[in-house]
Amino acid sequence: MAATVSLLAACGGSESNSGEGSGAAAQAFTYSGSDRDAYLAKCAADEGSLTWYTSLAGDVVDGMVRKFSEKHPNVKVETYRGEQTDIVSRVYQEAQADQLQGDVVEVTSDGFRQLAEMQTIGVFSSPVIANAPERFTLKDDSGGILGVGDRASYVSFAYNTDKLPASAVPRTLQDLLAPALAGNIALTDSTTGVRFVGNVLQALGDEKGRDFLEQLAAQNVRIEAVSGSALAGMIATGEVTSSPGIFRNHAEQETADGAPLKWVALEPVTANVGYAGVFAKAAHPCAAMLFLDMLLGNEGGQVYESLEYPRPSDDLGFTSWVPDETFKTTDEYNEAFNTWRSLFEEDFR
Amino acid sequence: MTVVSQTPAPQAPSSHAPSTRKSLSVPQLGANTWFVVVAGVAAALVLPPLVLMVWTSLTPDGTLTNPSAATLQAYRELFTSTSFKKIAMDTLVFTVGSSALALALGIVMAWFVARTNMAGKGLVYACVFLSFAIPGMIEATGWILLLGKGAGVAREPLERLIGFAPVIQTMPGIIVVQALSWAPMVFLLLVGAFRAMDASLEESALTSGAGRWAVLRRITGPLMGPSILAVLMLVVVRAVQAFEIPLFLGSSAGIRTFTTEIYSGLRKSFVPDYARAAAYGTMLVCVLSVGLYLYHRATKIGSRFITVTGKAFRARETDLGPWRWVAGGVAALVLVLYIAPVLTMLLTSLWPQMGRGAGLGEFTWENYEQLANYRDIWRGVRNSLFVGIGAASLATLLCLAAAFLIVRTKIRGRQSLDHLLSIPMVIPGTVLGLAFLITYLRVPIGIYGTLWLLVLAFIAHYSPYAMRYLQPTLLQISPDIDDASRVAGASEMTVFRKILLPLVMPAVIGAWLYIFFHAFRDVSIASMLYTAGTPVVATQLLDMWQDGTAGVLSAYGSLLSIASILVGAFAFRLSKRFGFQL
Repeated sequence: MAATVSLLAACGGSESNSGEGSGAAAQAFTYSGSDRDAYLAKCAADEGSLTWYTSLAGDVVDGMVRKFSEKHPNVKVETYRGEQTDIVSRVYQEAQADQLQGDVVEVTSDGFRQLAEMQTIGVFSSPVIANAPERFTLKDDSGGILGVGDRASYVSFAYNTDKLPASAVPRTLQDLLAPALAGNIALTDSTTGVRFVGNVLQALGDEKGRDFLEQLAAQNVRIEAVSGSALAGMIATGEVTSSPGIFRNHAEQETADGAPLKWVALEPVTANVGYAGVFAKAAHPCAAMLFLDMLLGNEGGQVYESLEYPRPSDDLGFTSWVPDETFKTTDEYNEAFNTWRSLFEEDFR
Repeated sequence: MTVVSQTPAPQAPSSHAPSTRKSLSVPQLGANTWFVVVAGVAAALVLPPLVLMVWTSLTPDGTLTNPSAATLQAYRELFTSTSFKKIAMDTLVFTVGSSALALALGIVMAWFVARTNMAGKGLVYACVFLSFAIPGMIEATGWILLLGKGAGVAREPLERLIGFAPVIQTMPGIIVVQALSWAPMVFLLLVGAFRAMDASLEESALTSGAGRWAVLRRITGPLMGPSILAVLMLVVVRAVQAFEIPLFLGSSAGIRTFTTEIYSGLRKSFVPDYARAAAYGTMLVCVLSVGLYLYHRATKIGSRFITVTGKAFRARETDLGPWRWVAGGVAALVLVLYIAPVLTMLLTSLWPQMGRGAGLGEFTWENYEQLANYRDIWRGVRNSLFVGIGAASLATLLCLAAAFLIVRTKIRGRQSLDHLLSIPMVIPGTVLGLAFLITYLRVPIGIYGTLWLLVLAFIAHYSPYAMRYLQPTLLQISPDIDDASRVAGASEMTVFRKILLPLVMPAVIGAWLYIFFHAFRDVSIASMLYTAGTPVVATQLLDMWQDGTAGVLSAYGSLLSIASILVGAFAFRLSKRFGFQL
C-alpha cells in the first residue's frame, strides 16, 4: 500500500486511482443513457448473479438480499459477510492473485478507503446519488465517485434495564468508572472494541485517555469474541449487563422486540459510516450496479430505516466522531488504529 | 443401544510386518508406479502449505511476488510480546486439564464397560454417540444458554437447589466441556484394548490372593500403560489444537490459547499479520511433532505389551454387586451432561423468553421461520454434504492406497509416505486453512472459490486419522490369505477386490464416517477458506454466532443436532452390524 489516499474526500479528493476494470464493467458502472434501468436489468439477468461483500450484521443483510430479489428474481445474490478487517484482507488476497470474487461492497468508511487505496474499487455514477452529501462521498483524483455513505451506525452505551439500576447508568465516559459498573461491562474484541479505545483517546486526549483506559480495565471488563450485534443480543438476554460498544440500531431493534435494553449516547458517539461501491473488476457489473442503486436509493433506505439505520447525514441530536475522518491518510489511520489495538490488548486482555 | 466396539488397541502404523510375511507378489514396476503416484498426490497436498507456512513466518515483509530476506523477526516479536506468557500458560493449563480429565473419564468408561457388570452400559454408548454427532459449536452455545455467566437458565435453579451454580465461561468450565467431548474418543480407543487383554493374568493374581486394587495397580495398569500413554499423547496433540470450545467459551473469561490467538490475530487489523500467525503455526508444529513422535513410540511399545493371543477367551467381568446400579446411575448423570445443552438450545429456539422470567414464556416458531429465510441456508447444507462426502471418499481412497503400499510392499522409503501423510496432524486447522488459502489463490488450477478447495484441505487434514484406521487393519491381515488366492489362480485385482477389500471394509467405512462427520462440522479450516459461493454449515453457524442472530442459531443448531443424531444413530447401527469402529 504505497500510495496514500485522502481521508477527507470533501476537502480535496483522493490521491488514489480507481482500479482498472474491464471496459464492459466500466461501461455498466457509468452508463447514463435514458434506457439505463432497462439496459442494466437485461444485462444483469444475463449475468444471473452477483456477489456482495459486506460488514453489515444482523437482519439487514437478509433484508437487503430479499428486497433485491423481489425486484430482480433472475439475479441471485451471494453474500460474503464478515468483520470489515476480514473483508479487506480477503479482498487484498484475492486482488493480489487476480481472483477477486466480489462485485459490490458495503463496509465501514475506514475499510472502504483501504479498498480504494488497493485500487480495487471502480468509479461509478448513478441517478440515485444525485443529492449525496459531499462529506460522505469518496472520489478519485479525477472526481470520479468511488463510494457513497449509505448508512450510519452509532456506537455507544447500552444496558439491560433489569440488571442495571437507573442510578448506575452513565451519562459521560467518566461515569463508566463508577463502582456500580465494576464487573458489569463488556466489550467486543472486534474493530468496534478497538474504535472505542480510539474514541476515548480522541475525547479525553492521549494521556488522560490512557489513564482512563487503565482505570476502566480495572473494572473487570469482559471481552467477547463476537460482533457488536451479537453483544447487543447478549445484553438483551441478560448474559451481559452493559457495554459501551453497542450499535444504536441493534439496540433499537432489540427494544422493539420487547427486550429490556436501553441505549444511551455517551458523547462523542463513535459513528461507523458505511460506504457502498463496486469492485473495478466485477464479473457481474450490471447486477452490481443494480444492487448498488438499491443500497443507495430509496429501496435500500427503506430497509435501513425499518432496522433503525439512519443515513449518515441525518441529525440524531448528539455529537459523533467518524474515526477515519480525523486522519489525512490511510497510513496515518492505520498507525493510529494499531496503537488503539495495542492499547486494547494491553488493557483489556 | 448397545454397540459392540471392535476397536483395537492403538497401534503404531508400522511397516514391520510379521516375520512370516512374504514378499510382494504384485509386479514391482506397477507397485513402484503406484507408489510414485500416491506419494506425489500426498506431497502435493501436504508440502506446499507446510513450506508456505514456514516461509511466511520467516519473511514478514515479503509477498509471494515480492519476496524479502529471511528473518526471525516474527518469532522474536512473538516470544517477547507481553501476552505470550499468558497465552502459553492458558494453553498449557487448558491442555493439561482437558487431556487429563478426558483420559480419566475415558479410562473409567472403558474399564467399567469392558471389565465390569455395570448396569446400563448402553448409556455410555449413548454418550459416545451424542458426542460424535453434535458439533462442538452447538455444544458450546448450548452450554452458554445453560450455564452462561449472566443468563444461564440453569444457574438460578442450581443456586437454589445446591447453593452453587457453576459458570461455564471459566477455565474449569471449558476444561470440563472439552473433556466431555473427547472422553468418548478415549473410551473408543481403549475399550477394545481392555476387552482384548488376556484376563488370565489378572485371574491368576486374584487366585494367588492379590486384592483387586493390587491387581489393578500391578497387572492391569502396567499392561494397559503403553496404550493409555499413546491415547494421552493423541489427546494432548488435539487439545493444543482445540479451537471451537476455547473460542466460544474462553474469550468471555479472558482465556487465550494459541489457536484462538491465531484466528483472532488475523482478524484484528486491515493488513493481517500473516507472519505472526505463521510463526505461531510453525512453533506449534514443532511442539506437536514431539507429541506425535511420543505417540508413535508409545504405540510401538504398546504393541509389544498387548497380549493378543489366537485363543478364544472372554475378559472376565468384575461383579460390582449392588454398586453396578450406582455405576449405571453415574453413567446416566454423565449422559444428562451431554443432552442438557442441546435440549436447552432446542427449548430456547421455541421459547425464546425461557429463563428471563417465570416459566417458559411464549411459544413461537419465529426462529424457524427466520431460519427458513436465512440466506443460502439450504446451499450451506448441500455444500457441507458435498465437502463431507468428497473429502471422506477421496481421503479414504488415498489412505487405502498408501496403507496398502506401506504394508504390502517392500518399496524403499515406503515408510516416508506414512510420515508425509501424518504431517497435517500437527498443523492447527486455522494455520492449515490460511496456508491453503494463500497457496491456492496463486496456483492456477481454478479451485479457489469452489468447494474443491475445502475438499482438498480436509483430505490433507484428516488423512492422518484415516491412516490410523486403515494401516493397523491391513497389518492384521496375513499375506498368506491373499497369497493362497494367487496360488489358486486369482488375479491381483481379484485378490484385492474379493479378498482384501472385504476384510478391510470395516476400517474403510470407519475411516469414511470419521472424516465425513468431522469435515461436516469443522470450523477452523472452513472459516479460512469459504467464499460467498461456498458457504458450509460450520461457517453459517459461526456467522450466526458472530452476527448476533442467536435465535436463528438456536433453531439451526437444534435441527442440525436432531439430523446429526439420526445420521449418527444410523452410522452406529451400521457399525454394530458390520463391526467397524467409529
